Amino acid sequence: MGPLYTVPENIQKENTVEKKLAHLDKIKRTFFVYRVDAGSCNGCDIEIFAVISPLWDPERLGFKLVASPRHADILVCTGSVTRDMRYPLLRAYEAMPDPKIVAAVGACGCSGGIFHDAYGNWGGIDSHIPVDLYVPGCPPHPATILEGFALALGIIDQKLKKTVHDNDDGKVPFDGTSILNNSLFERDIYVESKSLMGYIHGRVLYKKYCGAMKTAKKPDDVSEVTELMKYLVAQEEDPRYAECLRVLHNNVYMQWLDRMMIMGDEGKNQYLIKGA
Amino acid sequence: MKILEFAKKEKMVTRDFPVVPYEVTEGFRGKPEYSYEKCLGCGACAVACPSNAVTVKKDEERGLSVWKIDYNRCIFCGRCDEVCPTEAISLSKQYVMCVLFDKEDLTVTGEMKLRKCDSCGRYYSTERLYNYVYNKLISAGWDRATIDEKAKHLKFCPDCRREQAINNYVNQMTKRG
Ligand code: SF4
Ligand code: SF4
Ligand code: SF4
Repeated sequence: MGPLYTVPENIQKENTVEKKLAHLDKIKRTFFVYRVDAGSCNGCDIEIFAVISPLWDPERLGFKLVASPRHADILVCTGSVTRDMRYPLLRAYEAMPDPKIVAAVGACGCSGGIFHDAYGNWGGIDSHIPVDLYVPGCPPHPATILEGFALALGIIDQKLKKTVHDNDDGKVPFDGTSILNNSLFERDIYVESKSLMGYIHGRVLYKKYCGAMKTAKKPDDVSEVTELMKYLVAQEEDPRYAECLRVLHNNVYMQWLDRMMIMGDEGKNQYLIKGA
Repeated sequence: MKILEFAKKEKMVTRDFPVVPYEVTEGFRGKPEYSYEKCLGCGACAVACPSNAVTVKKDEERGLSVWKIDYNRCIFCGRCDEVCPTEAISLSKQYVMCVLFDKEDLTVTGEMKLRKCDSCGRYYSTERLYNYVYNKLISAGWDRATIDEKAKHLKFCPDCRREQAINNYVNQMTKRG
């Protein structure tokens, strides 16, 4: 697919980076914003309205929403360009006075986002008109959008830079140590933690459990570990973690002792931790 | 007038955001942070990513596997975080990420060495993934012979492995008659 729209020469001449920067420098005080929804799911637009609310109050920075692109300094575009909204977008762009500053808000605006390979979707804003400010997020947090405006006006500096890591030494993040001298034990704990609490909390649970196990002098000594876990469960403030730590001990750890032939079924009951 | 009274009662609600950083709540889904040291180049995140923000490509000429994330496309769903075996990519609380003019500033790339198949000589996996799996095998409590037997298969690409399995099977069958 070739370029769908070439920016006319007279517009190109008036829109060099130097001219844009000079313009942004000049509009430090009040900037007029015109908003185009080029086919978004409305998530981004709602966040833009959240920005305009008193909680964030962008008028401190000079933000002013206008009703016509002819008054606008900044064109804020949301959404990936759909076939129907492409022409209105181009019209708004051409109607803006030069130099034109265009901001793409949301993953859709920046690159097509989640809809990038959908039918009827013609890519991000920047595959049609030149974009100057990218505000990623789906939808972006109001703070991100506000930061974008502040960045354009030169109030704050850009934080991110293109990063390339290319110093591979083949080292891996695993040192071969394991609590019960068998990394399959950790795997079982990890799998059970994730299935109990999901990946975010499960990971915390896993770290809690393994962190405590590492402090045990003899991790295969059932009475010591049971005391340790009882203490950990009693100390835990969040009842969800307490319950799941108990399950990990009663199910996974006991099963492993059985498997390693340290302890069979008999006498097991006294080491199970009872629920509250 | 009523509004003024009301406004007096309420304190100021506007946040001093660009000057004072905004505190996000617990569980906020921000920018997925990539840690190159932990990544294996296994590609699980690229498969899971619903918007193809993460891509893993083979660069045969340079013998590298190129991992790349494009925050322009990321929707902060956390599926990469969920599947990553080493937490090399995980959602952070970072929300400051706008860029001016160049959208390449929103990408992070990691290049990892590829490993050749011992039999056909084609690239099939990263060195790191091989080392990781090998270390895991060793620490999984098997005896030496089993480890060697299992590790043998690691050195071949999936195609050669399949071929070998079929050959072994055919040999066994012909021996039996
Ligand atoms: S970036 Fe996300 S919230 Fe914004 S328009 Fe696209 S899908 Fe909707
Ligand atoms: S899933 Fe994790 S380890 Fe695998 S390639 Fe992605 S970031 Fe790297
Ligand atoms: S958070 Fe979701 S969209 Fe973003 S890189 Fe991870 S899987 Fe892809």
